[in-house]
Amino acid sequence: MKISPWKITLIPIAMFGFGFALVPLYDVFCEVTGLNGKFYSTAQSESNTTQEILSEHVVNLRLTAHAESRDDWLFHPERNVIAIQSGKMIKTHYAFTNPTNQDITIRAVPSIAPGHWAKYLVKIECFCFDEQPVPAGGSVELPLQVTLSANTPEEVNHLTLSYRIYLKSGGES
Amino acid sequence: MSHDHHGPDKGILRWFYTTNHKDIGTMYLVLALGSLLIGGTMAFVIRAELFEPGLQLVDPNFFNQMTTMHGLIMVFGAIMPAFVGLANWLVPMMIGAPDMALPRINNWSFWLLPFAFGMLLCTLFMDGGAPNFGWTFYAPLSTDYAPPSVTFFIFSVHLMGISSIMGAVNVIVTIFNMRAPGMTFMKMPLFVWTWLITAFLLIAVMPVLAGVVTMMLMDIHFGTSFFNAGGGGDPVLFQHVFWFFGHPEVYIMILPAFGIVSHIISTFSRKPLFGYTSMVLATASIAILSFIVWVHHMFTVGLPLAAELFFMYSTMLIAVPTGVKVFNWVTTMFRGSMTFETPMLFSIAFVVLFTIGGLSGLMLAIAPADFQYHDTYFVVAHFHYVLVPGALFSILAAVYYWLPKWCGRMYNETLGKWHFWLSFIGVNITFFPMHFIGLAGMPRRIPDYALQFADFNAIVSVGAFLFGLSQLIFVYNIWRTTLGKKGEQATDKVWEQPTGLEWQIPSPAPYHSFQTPPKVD
Repeated sequence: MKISPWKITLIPIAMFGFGFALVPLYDVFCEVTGLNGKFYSTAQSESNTTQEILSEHVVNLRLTAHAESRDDWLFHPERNVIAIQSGKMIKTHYAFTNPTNQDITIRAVPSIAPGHWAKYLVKIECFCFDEQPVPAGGSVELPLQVTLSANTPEEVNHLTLSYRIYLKSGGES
Repeated sequence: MSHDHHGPDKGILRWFYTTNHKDIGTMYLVLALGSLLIGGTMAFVIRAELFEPGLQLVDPNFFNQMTTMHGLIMVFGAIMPAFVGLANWLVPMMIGAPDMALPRINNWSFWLLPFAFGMLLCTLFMDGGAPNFGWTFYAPLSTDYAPPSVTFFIFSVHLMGISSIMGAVNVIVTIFNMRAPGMTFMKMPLFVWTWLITAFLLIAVMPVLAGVVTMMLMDIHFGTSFFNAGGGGDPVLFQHVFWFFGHPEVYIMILPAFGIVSHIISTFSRKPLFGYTSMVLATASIAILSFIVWVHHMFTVGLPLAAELFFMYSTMLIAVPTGVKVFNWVTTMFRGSMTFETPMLFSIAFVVLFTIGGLSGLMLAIAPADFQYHDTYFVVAHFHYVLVPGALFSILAAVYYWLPKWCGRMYNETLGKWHFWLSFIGVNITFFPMHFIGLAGMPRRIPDYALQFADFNAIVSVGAFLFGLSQLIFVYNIWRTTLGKKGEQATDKVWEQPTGLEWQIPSPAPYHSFQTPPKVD
C-alpha cells in the first residue's frame, strides 16, 4: 500500500480547522448539557411565566456581584437574597458606580449555579452581555427581572445568580 | 549528473544543503543536546532559587520566565527533536530504505528549528522579558497579562509546529512506501511501529496547537475574544483546546521511547521480545485513548460529575495497555542471559522509574484525590518521572546503543557506567522527594515557599545539581567517541546478537545505505 504525502497533508489541514471548530462545539456542548451556567432561558416562548397561579415552591435566589479585579469600581446588587416563586415577577437591579475619572464601557457576564438547575431561573429582563457606557464618576442602575420556572422540580432549593463586570474589550479600543 | 559523487559535500555548507537522513538525524540530535543543556541551565536557576526559602537570586518574574522556558525548551527543543533525530537515523536503516521519502522537506523541517528556538531564546532579552506564563500558557495569563514577547513565542510555536508536522508526514510516507520487499507491517521493528503511531498523533494534534496559539494571536492583536470573558469568550475554552493537543503530546514524547527500550532489552537479554503483537496493539490503544482523556488535566475547573467520572475512568484505562508493555519488558528479561552495558542499564532504569511515574499518574487520575494534588509538586514529580527517567533515559540509551553503528567506534563503557549511576542517583534524589512536598501541599511554579518545605527542597536541589552535572560526562563521552576519534573499532553487529536490518550494514554506517533494498523473509 503506497500513500501520497499530499493526501497525508490533508489530515493536519483538517485538524487545524477542527481546532477552531472546537470553539462553537464547546458552546453547543455547554448549551446541551447546561454546563458553565451560561445558558438559561430569557423570556422564552413557552411562556410558563405568564401563568397566574402562584406556586407554593419558593426558592431563595442569591445575587452576587464581582467587578473585574484590579479596578476600583463599585458594583453590588440591590438585594442580596430574593425569594422567588413561579408566577411572581421580581424586579430588582444592580448598581454600578465608576469612581474613576475615565469614561468606560462595561459588559456583564452572568453565571448561574448550580449549572444543572440554571434552566429553572427565568430572566425576563437582563443586562447580560449588553454594552453599558458609564461616564467618569457616574452611576448606572442595571435592571433585572426574574421569576422561577413553573416546571421547577421540588428538589431545587437554592439558586445563585452571579454577574461579573468586565471592561469591554475586543473591537475598537 | 556526476555519478562519482557519493560522499558528503565538503565544508560547512554540507550541513545547510544536505538531504541525507544521517546528516539531518545528526543535526537534530545535536540541536536536542544543545537544548537539553540550555533547558538544564534554566533548571539550575530554578533549583538554586529554591535551595532555601526566601527570594535570593532572581526576582519572581524572572523565576516564572525560567520555569516557562525550561518547560518549552525541554519539551519542544530537547525531547521532540531528539526523537525526530533518532527516527531520521534509524527508520530508513531499519526498514531497508536508502533515505527518507521526502529528503528536501526533511532538510527544511530541521532548519526551521534553529530559527524557532533562536527567536524563543531572544525573548529573554526583550522588554518585559520572556514568556512567564508557564509552558501550558493558559489564557488570560498568556493574552491579557502576557509580556509583549508573547507574539514571538507564538511565531516560534508556529514554526516548530510546521517542522513537526512536516517531519511526521515524512516518517509516515517513508514507512508506508519505502519498506524493503517482504517487510510486512507486522515484521516492522518496534521503534518503527511506535514512530509510525507517534507520527499520526503529531499530524493530528500539532495543528490544534497551531490553532490555539493563532486564537491567542487574534485575541491579542486583532480584537477577537476567544478566551476573553469580557467579550463573550471563555478562558476555560483555552484549557480544553490546549489539552486536546497537550495530552496526545505527552504520548508523542513517550511512545518512541517504548520502541527503543523494546529493542535494547531484547538485545541484552539475548531473547526475542516477548509479545511483539501485543506491544503493537498496546501502542495503538494508548494512542487512541490519548484523545479522550484530556480533561484530567483540568479536573478542578468546575465540571459536572459525569465528566469527572468519564475522564477519570478513561484515564485509568490507559494503565491497561501500559501495564501490558511493562509486563512484556519484564517477561523479555525473565530467564534471559542478561548483561548490563550502559544502554541496558538506562533501559532497565526506564522500566522501573517510568512505572513509578505511571503509578503517580494513576493517583492523579483519581478525580477526588486530584483536587488535593492539583498544581502541587506532586504533579511536578509525576511528569518529571515520566519525562526524565522516561523519555530522556530512553534517548540516552538509544544514543549509547546505536552510536557505535553511527560513528564506527565504541563509546567508553566506564564513563557510560559513571554517567548512568550518577544520573540514576541524581534523578531520584531530585524527583522522589517532590512527591512528598507535593502531598504536603507545596504549590508548583513559586519562587518562595513555606519553611516546612525547606529541608526537602535543599535535598532536591542537591540532586538536581548532581543530575545536571553528570550529563557533562555524557557530552564528553560523545565528543570523545565522535569528534575525538577515540574508542575501539565497532564490529558491524556491535552487540552480540542484535536483530534488525541496521546491524547488517557496516559500522560506521556508510553515507548511502541500502541503495538496493535487502530481502526480508
